Order: sequence, then C-alpha cells, then structure tokens
Amino acid sequence: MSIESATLKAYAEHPRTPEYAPLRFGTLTPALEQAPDDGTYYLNMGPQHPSMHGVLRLLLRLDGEKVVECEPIIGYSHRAHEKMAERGIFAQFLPNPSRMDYLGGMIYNVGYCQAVERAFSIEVPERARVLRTLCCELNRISSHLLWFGTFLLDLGAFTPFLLAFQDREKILDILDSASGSRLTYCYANFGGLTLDVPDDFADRTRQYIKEQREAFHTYHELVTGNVIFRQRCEGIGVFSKDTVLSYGMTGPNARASGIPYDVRKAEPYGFYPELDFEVPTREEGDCLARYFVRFEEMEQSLRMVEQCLDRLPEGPVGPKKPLVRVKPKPGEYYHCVESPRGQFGMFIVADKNPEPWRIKARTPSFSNLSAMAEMLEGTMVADTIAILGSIDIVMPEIDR
Amino acid sequence: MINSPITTAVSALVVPGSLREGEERERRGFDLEAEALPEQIVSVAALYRGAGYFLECLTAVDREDFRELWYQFNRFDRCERHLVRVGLDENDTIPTVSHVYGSARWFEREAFDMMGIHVEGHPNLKRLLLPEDADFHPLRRDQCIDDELRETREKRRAKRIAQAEKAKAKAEAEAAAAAEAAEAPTEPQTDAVDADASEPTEEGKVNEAPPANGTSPETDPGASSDSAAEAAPGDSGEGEPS
Repeated sequence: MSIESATLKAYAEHPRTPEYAPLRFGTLTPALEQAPDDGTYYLNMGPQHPSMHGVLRLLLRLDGEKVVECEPIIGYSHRAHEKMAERGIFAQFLPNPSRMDYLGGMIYNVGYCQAVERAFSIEVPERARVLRTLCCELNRISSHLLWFGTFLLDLGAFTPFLLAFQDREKILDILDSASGSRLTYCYANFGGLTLDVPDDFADRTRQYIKEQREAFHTYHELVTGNVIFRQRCEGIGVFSKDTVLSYGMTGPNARASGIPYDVRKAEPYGFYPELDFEVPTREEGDCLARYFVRFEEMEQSLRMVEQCLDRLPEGPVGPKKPLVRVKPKPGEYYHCVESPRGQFGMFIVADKNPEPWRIKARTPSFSNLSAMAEMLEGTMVADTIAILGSIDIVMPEIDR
Repeated sequence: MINSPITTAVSALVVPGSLREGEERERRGFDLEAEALPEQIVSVAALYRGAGYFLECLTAVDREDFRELWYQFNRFDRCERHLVRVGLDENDTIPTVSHVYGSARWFEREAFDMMGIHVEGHPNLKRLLLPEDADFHPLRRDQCIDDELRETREKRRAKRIAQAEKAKAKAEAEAAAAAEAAEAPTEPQTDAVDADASEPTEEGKVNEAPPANGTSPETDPGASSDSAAEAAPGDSGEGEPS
C-alpha cells in the first residue's frame, strides 16, 4: 500500500508551462527599447527600491552622472478611492481618506469630516473640535519624525532612523489609546469623534512632549552639524518661488522656498484660529531649508498640543448616536486642511442623493512630485535620492 | 471683491455675465465663480498666472449629459479661491494650459486618464495612474459599476427627467394662465420648499447603522429623495443638469 503524496500528485497534474510570455518593457516605455544615440542612457529607479518611499518608478535619462531627463511613473498603488466614494453614502467613505496618506491619516480623516460638516451645516461640540486639532498635531509630528528617519536613511545614516522611530512609537501609542488604531485612523465622525480620550491621555501626552523636546537636542547634536549631511543637503535641490507657484507646491516645501503659505493661517479651520503658533519659513529653498522648516514645525506642533491640552473643555465629543445619514444639499464644496505635506483639499459635488456625486481629493504630494520631475533635470544622480527624500512624498496619496 | 482688477480682467475674458461672487462662502469655499468656453481657458489661465495665482486643483466632473472641467485658482498671500468652470462639448476636447502652469501637466493627464478628456497640445498625454493598456476611463459615471447600481441610477435619472418635464409643462401652463393665477401657486410652492427643508433634516438625522454592503442604502434614501423632489417640483427643475 503506497502512501500517496499530495504534492507529487499535484506536480504530475500540473506540468510546467512550456513557454512563458517574455516580460517586456515594450508597451510601457518605448524609450527603453531604442537606445539614444547621443551618449546618454536610461537608468530605471524603482518601483521596488528602498529609497522610493513606496512604489515610485523614476525613469532617468543620464549623461554620465547628470540627469538629462526624468519621468516619474506612478499609479502602482492606485485604489480608485474617488470611484469608491461614488458607490456608497457619505459615511461609507469615512475610512478611506486615512488610507490615502497613511502617515497623516488623522488629518485626512478630520479633513474629510470637516468638509462634509461645513458643506451640510453639521455642528461639532467644542471638546471634539479641540481634541481633533490636538490629534492632528500629534499626527503631524509623527509624520515628520518618520520623514526625518527615512530621509537620513536615504542619505546613508542609520541611527537617526532608529531614534526617530522610537519617539514616533510614543505618539502612535497615544493615538492608539484614543482611537484604537495606529496608522489608518477613523477617529473623527460626522459631528464629532467616535470616542472620548482615555483618562490618562493628557498625562501621557505631557510626558511625551517633555521627552520629545529633549530628543530634539539629540537629533541636532547627531545630525545637523554632520559634515556629510551638510554637504549632501546644502544648496541641493533648490526650488525657486516661480517653480512653487507654477506647480502649486504647498506645505513645508513651499515654506522652505520663502512662501509663507499655511492653510491653518490662510483659511483657519477647527481650533486653529484660537491657537498661538508661527509659520516657520526659510528663504533658501534647498534640502537643508526643508529640513529646518520641518523641525521648526514639529516644535510649533508641540506648542499647539500643549495649548490644546491646557484649554481642553469638558463635555460631549459628538452626537449621542453616530450621525450616519447626512442630508446632502446640492452643490459643490471645497474644504482644505494642512496635511504634513501641504494643502489637502476635498472637492465634494453633491446632489439630492445620499451618495456623493463626485469626490476629488487634491493631494499635496501629487503637485510636489510633479514639480520635482522638472527640477531634477541637470542635477547629479546621487542628489536625486536626497531631493526625493527631502520633499517627503507618500505614494499612496499620489496614486489614491 | 467683484470690482478688483483681476475680476474685471477675468470678466472680460469669460462668458459674459457668468462671473459672480461665490454663494455661501462659509459653506462652499469659493470666493468667485465664472464660466468659460474651452477656447477661453488658456487666456484666463495666463491672466491668473500673471497675477500671481496658483492652479490649486483641476477637477473633471461627469454630469452624464456632458462633462465639465473645473479650474481652481488660489493665492499664497491671501485666501482667494476662484472657480472657473468649462463645459465641454461631446468631443470632450480642451486646449492645454500646461505651458502656463506646470501643475496642469499632471492634472490634465489625470483628467484624460480618469475621465477621457482629450487635451489638445499636451506634451505627453498618456495614462497617469492606470496602466497604459487600459481601455476605459473609470471615473465616468457609466463605467466600473455593477448592474444593481446601474439600474438604480438609471431609474433615478428617468424619474428626474420626467419630473423636470412635468415641472416644465406645469410652468408653461401657469405662464399661459392669467397673471393672478400665475402668482397664486408661488406661495404654496415656497411653503412646500420650507416644509421640505425642515422635514428631511430630521429624517436625515435618523440614526441607522451603516449598511454592510454598498448597494443596500439605495432603496430607502432613494424613496426619501423622491418624495422630497415631488414636494418641490420647482427645485428639481433647477437641479436638472446635475
């Protein structure tokens, strides 16, 4: 009696495919098929490359080590969020925005809620308004900390990555205790928040702020004065004011080029009008300027979190029962918030039906990356990594 | 605002009389709205670029009967959001503004990719997010939806058109009647609108657990919106193109 091996049986039943269709670049990039005859050549970066921040593919045409042409090829993580929005009611789109930008998920979630609340006149209790702002700022710090770690990792420094992630973990724990998730939050709800924060939330956050302020000294001692770091950042990847205007760049990238545009100041929303904070700006527009702007922003965010904690009122955080079915009013609405990467806008077109007619997400990295493609021309190939790291892109947010 | 230099210059370029201050700025977020023809948009964009505005967003909207492109301009130094709408004809063609605004390069590619808008003169018009061999435009209203949703939408659309025609016929009949008779029905009609506005908000705040699948909410709200539309025929006539 022979023991039948399932694997051997399956092997016999499924013979090898005689010929695989050859993998071809052909239809995608005809440029690769025909080598240019002027001495330049193509270099393919990504989509699976550790410094590509997800799945970005850069097709670089190089002359020696100089970039002649750069074409970003995107869409590898396209999930059709805008189409999904049209299929369900407004509340069914609530979990989606935080999946667009998984590093600034809280801000995206709150931004979408605020867009709907503002469009259809839904009231939000004061405590929820303050808590939302507080959580958004914590989220901004965590996003910038991750940027700091990965940027330095791109430049070849490994230790700052570990330090930054260690500190970021504290924020994730705090936000986890409040919302129940670590990255893709669905904390805000139409009309408030799903849950109130736990009792020890304020104490933990204050403890974290203290530790983070000390940690900044460590970061600066370790990195900011480092010669290799300075030489790879100073004067590299300069965005002029005209480029910023032409490409509609926003966020820290625009502010590093001397444009003090911040949605929190230009078009205040949430609890920001009552907070005291500054918009850090630099004139140089290079990688180092962007580095400093983000660090100053983190310090401003810590200030804002402290103010929110001081002025946190008592009361309900939302309607007694979750407000699931909003009654839309026909029209088109635009609301934008300041995400860690720039202006995140929600364009809502509604008719009488409970589903949105169209939702368009204006994501900041989309504009920032399109500007980078042009700016890379004429730079060295090694600087590509530094520039890409310094503009802080998140691919799922671009692909949506 | 309506008399500032930029608005005067824009009003000379767009469709005459279409420039207006954004209604309900607090809720809708637009300071100024205008409508332009496809051949006007390049000069409008160039004007905004020269005045220091950036192209914030470019949205393609499928209205089922036609498609629209919405150009949104804003300033860095103060918040001033202008919305320029361009209605497209059945060919869905529009000249490119990518030589004016760098950001339009990807925005226009996205509009082509998602909505099938043909942008004339674009330096590199090909798929942006979808694979290059995709043969559909997913954000069109009739694309990538299941049969159930399609049926619901078709029913709604037929109902909307029927109501619009009914309202139109009613309006014509009223116009044909004497001036007294024409004035009289306006009052009850506004009452109906008010009652309609207050009722559904209560109805809308009826809290229900979100349905598990995307298609089941079709039935209830569809019925409620129908009843709302019946109560206010004038309103549905206005919303007909949407």
